[in-house]
Formats: sequence, C-alpha cells, structure tokens
Amino acid sequence: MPSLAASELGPFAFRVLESDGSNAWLVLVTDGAVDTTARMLSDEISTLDGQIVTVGAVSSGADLESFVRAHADGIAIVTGVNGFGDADWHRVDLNRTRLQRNGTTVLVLDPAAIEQLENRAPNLASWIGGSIWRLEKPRPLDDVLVEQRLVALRQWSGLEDLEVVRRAEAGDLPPDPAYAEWLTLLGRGELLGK
Amino acid sequence: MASDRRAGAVNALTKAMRDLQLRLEQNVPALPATAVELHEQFGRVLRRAILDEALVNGVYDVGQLLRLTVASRSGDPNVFALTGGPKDFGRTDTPEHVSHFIRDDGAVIHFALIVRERPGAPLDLVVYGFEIYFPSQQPIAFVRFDLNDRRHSNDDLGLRAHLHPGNEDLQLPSPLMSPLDALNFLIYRCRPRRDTPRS
Repeated sequence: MPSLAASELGPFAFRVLESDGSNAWLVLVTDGAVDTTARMLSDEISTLDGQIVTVGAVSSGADLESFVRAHADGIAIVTGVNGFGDADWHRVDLNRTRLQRNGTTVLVLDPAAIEQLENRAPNLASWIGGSIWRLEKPRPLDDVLVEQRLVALRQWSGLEDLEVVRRAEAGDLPPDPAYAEWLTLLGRGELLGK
Repeated sequence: MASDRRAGAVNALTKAMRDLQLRLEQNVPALPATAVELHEQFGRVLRRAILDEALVNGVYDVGQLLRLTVASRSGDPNVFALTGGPKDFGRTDTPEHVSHFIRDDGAVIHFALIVRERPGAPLDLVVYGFEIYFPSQQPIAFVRFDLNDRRHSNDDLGLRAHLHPGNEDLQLPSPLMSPLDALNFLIYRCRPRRDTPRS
C-alpha cells in the first residue's frame, strides 16, 4: 500500500466539507469495517454541517456509473469497490469521465482495494491525486499521559498501585469509578467487578 | 426489642434503596457495539459543541484531549478507557484549551468511562465519571455524575449511579445516564437558571 497521510474521522469530515464541491473525489482507506466507517463518516458530516449525505454500496464498475448518474449532486459516500474485479477497475479507469458529479464523492475502501485502484486504474488514481487518506485509529493515552493520570490517582487516594491491585484481588476495593480506571491503566482490567 | 425494630427498619431501607437503584437504571439507551464507535460519537458531540461555541476549544483540540486507550493496556482485551481531558482532581483555576475542555462560561469539563466489548451485544458500561467544575466557584464548585462499579453493597445503598453536588462526601441518587446524555448535559445544560443573583 502506498504511504498515505493519516487522518482521524472528524478532521477528515472537515476535509470533505471544505473540498472543492465541483467533482471533488476523496478516498478514505480503513482497516476496519468499511460500511461502519462510511456510516460514521456520514453521521459526522451531517452533524457538522446539517447536510444530507448519500451513502451507497456498489458492486461493479457499471453499478458505480449508475450510482453517479442517479446522485449527481451533494456529498456521496461510496462503498463496495473492495469487491471490484479487474474488469471493473479497467472499466472505471477507461470511463472515468462518466464518474463526474457536481458534488464531492468519497470512496471508502480497505488497503487491498487501494492497491487495486493504484495498479488497475492508474488514470483514475492520477485523477484522484493526493486526496487519499488512511483512517487513523483513535489515539490512546501515551505513556506520559497514563503516568500523569496514575500520579493523580495516587495523590488523590493516598494508595500505591500494588495496594490497589491487592485490594481488587481481595474484592475489597471501593466501587468509585476512579479505581476502575486505575486498574485499567495498570493493565489489570480483568479485576474489574471483582 | 429495639434492636430488632432497628434491624427491620434498616432492611426496609435497604430494599427501598435497591428498588430505587433499579428504577434509576431503566430505559437507558443501548451503547454502540464497539468502543471505536463510542469514541466517534463522543468526538462528534464535542466538535458540534465547538461549532456551536458552547466550548471554546478548537476543533483539533478534540483529537488531543479525547483518548481511547485500547485493550493492550487493560489486561482484558475487551476493556477500554475513554477519557476526555486530564485526571483533574485539583480542578485548576487556570485551565487551558490545549489541555482542558472549556465551556463558553469558563467551566471545565472532564470525564472518564470504562466500557467492555461483548460479542454480538452492545458495549457494557462498567463505570463513568463526568465532572464539570467552575473555577470561579460560582454557582457551585463542581458537579460530578458517577457510575460506580457493580457491587452488591453499593446496590443496597441505591447509589451506584449518583451525583456529587460540589462535595466529595455527599452523594445524591442519579439516574443512570447514557454517556452521550451526560456529556451533552454538561456542555449545554448544568448552567445557572438566572444570570443575576436573587435579591
């Protein structure tokens, strides 16, 4: 897979809204469920801008052309290109002018499909250009932030990590949500609810 | 005997509190199936609030302050911590938007919740803590909605879901809130009903 810029879903939704509305194409590559990602992106755009977003799944190159004809305006999110065969990619590459719309189009696909698009539809890929992003997973707390939170918990309670774990194992830990977070940050989530 | 009457009263109170807790936990909307979806829902609410100018942060602060700590840290591969802002026991009187979610009136919001993914089922809400505090101490120092860990003794008190009205030692019963409702409430509500003090 080519090296791609990463973006969380929220900032990507802003990119969609800010993109050139006339026949702009963006691609979002996700390791997760494509349909779920498309739905979340649609919800995000609608929440930010109030627009009604068209979400469609296509099964072939011809289907994609039909979808574009049927939904010429507004923001459209398209899934299903993961299932394209060589003939489909060749078709959309050859007939890319039939994919022109008045609005912004977002293709949501998985890493295997972006490889296919780059290799089987090079003209289409060139047309899309650099408007391809990899969906970044939610950012976790890094080691510094985890330790900051643990320090705060220790100061708040007067306890140390080992004592908290011991009490959790004994079923003797207070039920405050702070202790559940403490166990989770220590990597002892299996003790929750004991 | 007096001790028997007292024990009977305590048992009656325990039952009443347990019944109260059951009522407070009813009709809570189901969570999504994955922690990632919940994270996106939270992000969406926060970004919308920024566009509404209910929060003074920049939209790109959301990615910095909202974190989903994945299973690799939890020891249980299905447990996640969703956190918003720092662990702010100190309730700083000089919050900054790069490190805190700050409301348009200067109040600060921070939260943490623990969820567990289950195959073929919505997320299990393990605990939450949603707090808003007012650096000006007006109209109150802080309000925090807590959902405690499931413990039978806690259930007896009818206080698994409770709120702290500006005092860590005082707990009032609270409905079990969906996390998004709690977040929306702190952002858009939980505000003085009157702009000027009563005379």
